Amino acid sequence: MIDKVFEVLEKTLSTPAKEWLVDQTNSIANLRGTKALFLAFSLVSRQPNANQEIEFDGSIWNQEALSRLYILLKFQESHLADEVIRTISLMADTSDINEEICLNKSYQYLTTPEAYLAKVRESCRTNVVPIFESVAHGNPYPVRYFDEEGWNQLILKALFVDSTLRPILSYKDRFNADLQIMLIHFAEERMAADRPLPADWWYAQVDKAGHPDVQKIALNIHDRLSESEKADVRQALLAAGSPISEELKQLYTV
Amino acid sequence: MYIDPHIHCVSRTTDDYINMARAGICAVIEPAFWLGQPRTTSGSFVDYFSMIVGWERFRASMYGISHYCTIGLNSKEANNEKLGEEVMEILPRFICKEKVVAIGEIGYDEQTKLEDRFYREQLELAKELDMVVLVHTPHRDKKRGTYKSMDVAIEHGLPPDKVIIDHNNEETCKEVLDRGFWAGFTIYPRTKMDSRRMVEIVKQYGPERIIVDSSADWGYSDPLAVPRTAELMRKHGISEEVIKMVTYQNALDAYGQSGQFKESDWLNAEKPNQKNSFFKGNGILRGSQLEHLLPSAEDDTIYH
Repeated sequence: MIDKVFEVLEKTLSTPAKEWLVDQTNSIANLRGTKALFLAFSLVSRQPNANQEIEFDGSIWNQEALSRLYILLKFQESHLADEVIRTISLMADTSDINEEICLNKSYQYLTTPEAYLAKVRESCRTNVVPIFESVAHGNPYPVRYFDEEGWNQLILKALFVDSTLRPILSYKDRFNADLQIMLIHFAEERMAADRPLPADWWYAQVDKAGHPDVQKIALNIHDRLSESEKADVRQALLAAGSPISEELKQLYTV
Repeated sequence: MYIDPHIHCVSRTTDDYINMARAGICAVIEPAFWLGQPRTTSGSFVDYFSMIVGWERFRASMYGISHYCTIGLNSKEANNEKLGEEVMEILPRFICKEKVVAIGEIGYDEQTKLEDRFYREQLELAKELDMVVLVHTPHRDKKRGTYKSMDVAIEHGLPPDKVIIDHNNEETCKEVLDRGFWAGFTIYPRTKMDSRRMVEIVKQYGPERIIVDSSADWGYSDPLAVPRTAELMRKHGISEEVIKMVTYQNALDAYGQSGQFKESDWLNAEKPNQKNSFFKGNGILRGSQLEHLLPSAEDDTIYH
């Protein structure tokens, strides 16, 4: 993995930037203590073109984040497993926004991704949307390591912060009855407060919009919906794997 | 447009942020300081530093204000030796993060041996990493404390133009400027320095290397001190060019040396809105409409 990361970086880093990174990682590997690691991990953001986008392993990174992944992998290579977990956890505790985003995307490439489960769960409780989405979107971490409780909270939080569910990997596979109850209660609360449902609430039902409570919601909310929202309901009803009432079929022309 | 280069936002309310944005403050620097009472564990410092590089920055951005900070062990808490040593160990985890514009605020409170030790150690760190330094000068025995702060900075090889000496008054100002340091002036409604005295200082010394700030915190202080002082300068016929230097440009030039404090950050910032991913969510707005929070055309001054 480490060679693969460096190969991608090599193509975009300028010669001085590459030399800087190699120098830093040599210090991290050879010096005692963690000062070199902490400083290098932060200082990456001060290198030229830190924001330049780079494609890596099928997703979009930038020069800064990928250099940070390289630093973590180099640190891992030269230190004992326990020390790696302890130190990276410490870095997660005090990361700034971009560092936290990078860590969330990086855990999957470390040797013990599950050791950082609590950190990733914490990132899913944030109200800072880019941090939340670094876990939720295009990241295999939740589907691999979250239990059902963690998974369901992730989905609810996505709707809460008005993020989209579509880039969540394996959303449909991990749909479960308990999640549906949570989604239904969430919708009932919103409707009681006369607030709209999040855009992806109907998509969230997968093929289970035949649930009696979901049908009830579709019926009660109809008058408040815009045409495009009605189309979302219609999509969900069409996908339903169980029978839909005649009334709903007429209402949404299913 | 104003910069308040010294304000302790964690102690301020959301109303303050709204008023600051309306008054034209586009960027703030939050120096790490004490909390009004001493911390008892280094863990409290970790969380505090994390907060000012993380959540507080996000909170400010919700009001359209670009937030920066300085990181350091303050002089008051430097008197707890064990804690001071632990904080020195923690600093490398924070000082080079994005938008950390200086080491600070460091310096003297009672000018004790321990304050001196940790001030010097942090100056060494600043020198090693080529960082800007923000120096807090003592309120008691001010004149000697201020001169000593400068002597020690020079002794450790810091160039004066990378050091901001803050909380000046009529007595300290001349020496600080003569020696080539930046001179910060904290405008407090009653004590340190008020807007009226500030006008006189600018008339006497001109705008070179003078920086006005509020140091607003948990005490009786004014988060609008910078725009208010600018307004008073206008009333006294001080030119716009001079006003801009002491309430905006000098701070930008001094802290801009860090490479972390860029005008483009706030000039090009997207206005906070529900669609802008950084600002959306239920973070702090709790369903309120952002338009009500943001400066409107009528709010061109804070004196309406």
